[in-house]
Amino acid sequence: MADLFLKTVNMSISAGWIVVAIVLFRLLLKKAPKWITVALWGIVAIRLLCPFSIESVLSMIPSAETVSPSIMTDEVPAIHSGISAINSAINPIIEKNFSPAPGASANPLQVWIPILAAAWIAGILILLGYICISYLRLQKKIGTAVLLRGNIYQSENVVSPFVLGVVKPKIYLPFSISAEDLSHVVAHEEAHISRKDHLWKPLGFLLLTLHWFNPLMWLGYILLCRDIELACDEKVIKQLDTEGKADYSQALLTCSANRRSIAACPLAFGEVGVKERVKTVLKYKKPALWVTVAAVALCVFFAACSLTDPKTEVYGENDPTKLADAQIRMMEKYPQFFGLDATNGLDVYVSQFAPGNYSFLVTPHTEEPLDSLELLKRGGCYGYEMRTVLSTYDIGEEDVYIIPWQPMHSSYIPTYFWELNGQDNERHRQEYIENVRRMLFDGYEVVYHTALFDIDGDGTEESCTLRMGPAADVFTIDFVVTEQGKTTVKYQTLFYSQLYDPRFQTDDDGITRVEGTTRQGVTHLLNISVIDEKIYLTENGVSIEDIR
Amino acid sequence: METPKIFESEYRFCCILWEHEPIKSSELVKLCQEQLGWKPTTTYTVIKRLSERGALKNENTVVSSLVSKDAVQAAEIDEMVKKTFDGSLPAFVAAFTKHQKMSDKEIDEIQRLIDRYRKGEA
Repeated sequence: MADLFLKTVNMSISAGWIVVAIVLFRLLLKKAPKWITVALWGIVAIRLLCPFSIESVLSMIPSAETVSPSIMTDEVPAIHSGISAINSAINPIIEKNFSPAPGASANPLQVWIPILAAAWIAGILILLGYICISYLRLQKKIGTAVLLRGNIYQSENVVSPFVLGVVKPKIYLPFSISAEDLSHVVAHEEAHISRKDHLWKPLGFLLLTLHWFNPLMWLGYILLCRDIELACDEKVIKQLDTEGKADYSQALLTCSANRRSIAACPLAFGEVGVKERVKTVLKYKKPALWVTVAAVALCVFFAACSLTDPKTEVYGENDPTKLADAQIRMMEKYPQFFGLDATNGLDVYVSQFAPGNYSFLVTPHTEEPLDSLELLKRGGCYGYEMRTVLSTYDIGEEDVYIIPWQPMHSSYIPTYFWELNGQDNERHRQEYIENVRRMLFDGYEVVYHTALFDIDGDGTEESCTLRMGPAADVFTIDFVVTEQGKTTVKYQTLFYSQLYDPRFQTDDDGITRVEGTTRQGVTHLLNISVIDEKIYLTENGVSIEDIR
Repeated sequence: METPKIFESEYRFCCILWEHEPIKSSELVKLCQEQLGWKPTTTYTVIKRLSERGALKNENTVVSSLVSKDAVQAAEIDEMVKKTFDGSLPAFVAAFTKHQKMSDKEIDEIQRLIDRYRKGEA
């Protein structure tokens, strides 16, 4: 419940920013058709209804998660409103009054926030009660309304004409309405119905009940009601000539101002003053087409800015007090890899100087890969060192891009470069990247190659990996086999071998063998067999260990 | 006996009654449905209310009036009674306009605006 409450609070704050923006943006739209302004409020509704959001640079929202769910358990509770002025004003107060005392069993916020959540629910129930009770009272009073025609009813209990009903909306008029006024009033109410206002207003109010604690939401609802009325007026008078507009204004005046009226009720919930409405009606001029088009275009852009969230910035941790010893050592050795902007991901460039000898460097993600001169400037480190560097970044594996490159001063060209056939090259490059990925993220020191095939003839394919031996000795090959998708090792055999770049090779006959190259450049193809749980690699009966 | 108070909608109901009485309540319900758009429950409620007020009697499901059309027309049909209802239109209902507190001066001002507009003055 507390989580739901905090999530609602965050959504409310985000929507609040949009309301403020609309209040300003509306001023621009004064000459545009009013239905466009109403549509803007629809954006707020979407924001409140839709819990999901995509991140975009267009976003105008300062922060999508002002109050983090972890605030209840954080040692230093703070809000992240996205605006530093607000943060620095509020956070010290929070820290002073709501920080957990060391050794205390519960954080103050763990007590307060559930209380607030309960108050929130109470508020919702009260407002829902208001809706139900007022609806029922209204229903009761118009029960004896008499049908005039179609869906229009009259009742002695109606003073102000209105529309009621979600599925089958009905128009309710007073008995004491003149024939001229009748046609205009009905036109206005029918405009409400065709614009579906009899749905939007209750829906808006329902959303308001969920966000009753946010004064900006009330402001938004009040302005929504105003804009709806003006849009309805506009829809009706669009088709009227001067005479018609005068008659319509007369109806407005008659229905609002009864000199004998004993009920004086102040303008509330977005009622636009009669004088303002009459003036607007009489002054109405149809907006030029370009104005409408420009307004719609602006609104679409506005929607993109409102409905998207800001990209959450991610930077590598480079505060020594927050790093482990191993990370601090790496930071001293390779300061250029620390504290980088990982908001759009990280690029890890990998090159090789010899088989099993990899060099890594990391930069913030760029759309185009950096050129060699740039990369050379940044130095390089070992795989296990890069692993430590990456552990200081709070991003997922999928946001790290592996980019192989060929430094001009390296005479070693990895095998994936050899094949000039486009398709094979790409496949090899992907496999190479995959190996490096496993090396970095799964902790394998050096993975030469992995493949899926049935090694022991049991009918299922196993995951087979050729990697550098645990002694980090260039001259060992560790052959590991696991059942596909599992981590328990099925077979594992260590070979002392001087063959470089061991990889799997599947022939046209469907049989997978191991291929390796001697230092002299001679390629050998070895058959794989499993006997008594031990793997054997032989070429013409000669074991891989005997090949020089 | 004083003529009981009849509201406008009840007056319409009575018109149907005067035209067709004496009439079985079930048939009256059907007529009210057609001409007034009333649900059956509404009709039965009104029958009960008016019989309590002494405007009609319901004997063995046959309904007949106790006051004549002339008598009712003479009595003033009170429209003002429920005016206080106006203040309680819920916030989520779409309406034409609300009764507003306006000074005579303001009303006249707006009327002048409309009149001038009609005559073609801006």
